[in-house]
Amino acid sequence: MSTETRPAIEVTDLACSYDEKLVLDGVSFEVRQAEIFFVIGGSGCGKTTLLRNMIGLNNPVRGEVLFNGQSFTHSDARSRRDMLRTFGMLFQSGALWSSLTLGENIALPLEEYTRLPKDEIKSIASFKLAQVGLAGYEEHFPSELSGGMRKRAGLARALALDPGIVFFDEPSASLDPVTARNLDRLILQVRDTFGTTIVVVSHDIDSIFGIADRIVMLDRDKRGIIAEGKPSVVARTSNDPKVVEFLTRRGLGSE
Amino acid sequence: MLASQEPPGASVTTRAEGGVLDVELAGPWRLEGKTPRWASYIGPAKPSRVRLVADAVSHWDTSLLVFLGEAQLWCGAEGVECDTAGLPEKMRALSGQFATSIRARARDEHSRSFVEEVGLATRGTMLHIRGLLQFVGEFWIDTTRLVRGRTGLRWNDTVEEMQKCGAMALPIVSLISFLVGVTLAYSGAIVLKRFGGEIWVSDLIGVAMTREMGALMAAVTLSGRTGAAFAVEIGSMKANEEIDALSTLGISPVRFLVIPRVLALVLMMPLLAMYANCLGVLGGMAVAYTTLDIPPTAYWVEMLTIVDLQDVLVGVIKAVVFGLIVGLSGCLRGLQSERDAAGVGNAATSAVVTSILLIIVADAIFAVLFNAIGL
Repeated sequence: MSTETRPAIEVTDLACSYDEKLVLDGVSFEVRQAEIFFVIGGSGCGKTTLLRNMIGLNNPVRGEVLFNGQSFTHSDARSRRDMLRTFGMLFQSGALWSSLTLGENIALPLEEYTRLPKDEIKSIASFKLAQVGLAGYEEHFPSELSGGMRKRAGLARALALDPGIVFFDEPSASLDPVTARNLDRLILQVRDTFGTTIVVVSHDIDSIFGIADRIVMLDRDKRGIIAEGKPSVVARTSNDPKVVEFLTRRGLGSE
Repeated sequence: MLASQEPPGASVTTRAEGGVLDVELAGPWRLEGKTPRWASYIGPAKPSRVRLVADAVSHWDTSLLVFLGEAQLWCGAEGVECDTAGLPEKMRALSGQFATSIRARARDEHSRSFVEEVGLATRGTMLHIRGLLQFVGEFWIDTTRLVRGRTGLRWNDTVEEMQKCGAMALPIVSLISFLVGVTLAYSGAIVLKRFGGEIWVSDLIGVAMTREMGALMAAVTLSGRTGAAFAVEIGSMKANEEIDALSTLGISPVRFLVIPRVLALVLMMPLLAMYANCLGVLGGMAVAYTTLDIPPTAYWVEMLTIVDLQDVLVGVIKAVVFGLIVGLSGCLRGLQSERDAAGVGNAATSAVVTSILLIIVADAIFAVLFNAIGL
């Protein structure tokens, strides 16, 4: 396992906008190596915007994101591409390329970044699909799968290049509780097997307490972080009513 | 059998007494029935106080809240004290919320000033132009990288697109260009008959088809058939985050999606244009033979006296540029699409409008240009 002491991700003083409106300002945090890190918060608090700014789908207004000590925000196209190669990303909808079969979906990153022969790429694609429990689905098109299967296939694609960091955008959204827990188990398994650093954007309480090592909670009004730390510790020690309400899930029944 | 009886509707009775206006609501208040409006109960004399009572209301829904909300708003605006103590608690709370929501709406609806409108429109146009330049720039960079052999071309995709936009468009292009030949022949014959020169119909059609109509008709057909399809395909990929998935892998969407499509169109459009030329000439020939009694051989020989390879070349050059226009507009509008179903539909419309507009502009520029260089 990595003996690197440098954090996997450092976000410093990041300001992000969505639709020309500033939604986050002065956000700073670190993600340690091989950690499962959750970004949580209510709807519209800028979780997904933060994620999109971290991986370069949007450019931050201000601030910087460093991966393994190297600046991503202020890098040229070439080194940016090299860094992107080391990320995997699971989109909310899975975002599989609908005109390609599952096998081809997973093969594409390998074709782009490696010089492996075709049959080896095929074997790797089958192996990755089997890892997420989709063995034998190589020839299926994304439209033939259920939502949960699409997410798992998306995970297989995200893992195609054995990335050091994998980002998840609301992995359990629109999944039933059992499927969602299975996905959590997969996330844990990926981290434990490969020592992958994992960043998850989510508002699923069961996932947060189930697998998160540390969390940051964002707030829409404050446009920034209102809590940070281990989920159980944050839930116990925070005196911000918003944090407590979110994490202890005090429903209407308990009022 | 029960006698069908019109149920008594909602009613309002008012009684003015020493500056106090008593408003009593009664009967069933239903949205689908006829309900009184507050405005019709405002007398010429402004009361100092309005007291609302709803003891005799048998049933009520939002229609009652509309009345009470308007009453409260009016009172607020006129500085009249509004006494709602006589209303049931639920009704009072909801009508208060109703009035608040109307006030909030009134604040949001403030019209923008002229300067603000101009500023926003200018900014929108600038962003639009920037997006366009960025797209053309990316296309240029990726194309030069491809030509220099720095990146590979997705041949499978290109060939598939060529089949879709070329071979599969043959029936519709045949029909349209044949009919264009036919209509040209009929309208040409009307003029040429006056001089007894029906035979020159063949010259007219030959020149018009090869230099102008062949490429133009193929391009217009393909902008509707293929350009719109590109916009929808890429637009739905964007809505489904598939374009983002490419970007996060460091794969340029322009290289991956745009170049194969544009290349396919640029390769197929000249072929389609030449094919359209043939069908157009054939259409003219058919009309000449059946209505003008010109035998096909005479038609052909006459046509060759004026049409030469240069005219065909003019058509082919245009077709290449039209192909580029149709392909780029379709892909650009797809990439610019909003991430929802309506956005994808708009992208298709916008792709067709953009490409047809640019085709006509380019055609006009070509007319001037070819005239200047004597082609």
